[in-house]
Amino acid sequence: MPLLDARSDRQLIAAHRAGERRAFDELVRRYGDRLWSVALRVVQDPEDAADVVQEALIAAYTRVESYRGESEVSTWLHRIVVNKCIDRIRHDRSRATRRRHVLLPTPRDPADQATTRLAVVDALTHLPVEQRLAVVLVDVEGYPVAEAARILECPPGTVKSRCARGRLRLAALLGHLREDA
Amino acid sequence: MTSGGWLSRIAEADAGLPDADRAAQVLAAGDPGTERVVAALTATRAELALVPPSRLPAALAARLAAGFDAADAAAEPGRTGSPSATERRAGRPSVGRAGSRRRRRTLVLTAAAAALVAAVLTGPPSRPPTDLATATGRVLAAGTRDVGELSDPARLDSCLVRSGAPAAAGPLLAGRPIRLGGVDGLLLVISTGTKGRVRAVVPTTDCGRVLADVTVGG
Repeated sequence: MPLLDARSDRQLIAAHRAGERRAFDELVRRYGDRLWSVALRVVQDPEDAADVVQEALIAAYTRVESYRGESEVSTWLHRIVVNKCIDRIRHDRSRATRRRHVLLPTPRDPADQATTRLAVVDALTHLPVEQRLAVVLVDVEGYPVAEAARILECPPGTVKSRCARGRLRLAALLGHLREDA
Repeated sequence: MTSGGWLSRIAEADAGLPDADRAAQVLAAGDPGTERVVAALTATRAELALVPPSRLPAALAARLAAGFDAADAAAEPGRTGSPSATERRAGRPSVGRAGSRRRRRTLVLTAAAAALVAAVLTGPPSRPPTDLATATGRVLAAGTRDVGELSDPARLDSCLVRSGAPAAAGPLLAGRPIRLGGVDGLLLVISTGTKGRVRAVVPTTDCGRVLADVTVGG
């Protein structure tokens, strides 16, 4: 068996459906890093990100019939991971708040202090989840707006708007801009 | 218009809203306030683009392999033990979707190991260290041009070419001395001609070689 599998993503899905175990491994090899990167930047905590990616990929593995071929396989996989991220953040908000207070003891809202400058990864945690997802996909991971829109299942204009609001907030948090300017 | 509304309008225009033509009109206003906000947004995008990539941890790859095996075991009618236990009892590899966990782990971990070797041989794909990301964002936002004679476009191009880098495709936006990996250089942030995308290149102070050369943003 050659080291690199030349089959398309859709062919791999078909092979997986037919019972070829190795086919899904190849999809993980192709997209695992990017899916992990998105999850890590969105949920921030490595343990939570690992749980998210595991739950998402096992869901995809066991419910491959939910892929109906209307989008690219990579988009479908990203969408599952993104939805797991949203579930994790929304259902675990109190834990996330406690964790943020441990990481960032002062100030409570860094944007209130122009002299405060956060690391960009920490600053992302201060964005609402919808803005964080848009900014992570477009600005951190470099996906085109149209692809981010397909992953997030919203119009491209919504992605742009969420990115605009997120960047403005981050510009203040990172010390590039005073919000009262 | 409130300060917040004004900022939001510029941020939305910077993102291409409400459409390309009207966004261009807002951004072409040319007043210092608008330019400062656009520079801040560009610096923010530059920092975001330079967040280092992260690889799927090998431990997670192993967890996934185990999870896939468990899912196969649960899906196979009449199967009650783990795949490895079943295989031990059977004394042979199983067939179909319930193959060897060890084989799967080997495949996944081999892929992770291959990726690690590739990273060691070639370095990270394209992203520079985060201190360069921070420096690029800051120098761009501040508009600092502490680059000595390299503020002259001809001297800038001469330095870049001597150091082995492509000449500048656009004007110098910002720059300052920087130390990368213990070597003194000059951080030069150069326009690429594409909104929101800049080139950050760091030649050594004697223009003898390039310490970093990346395109960020957009």
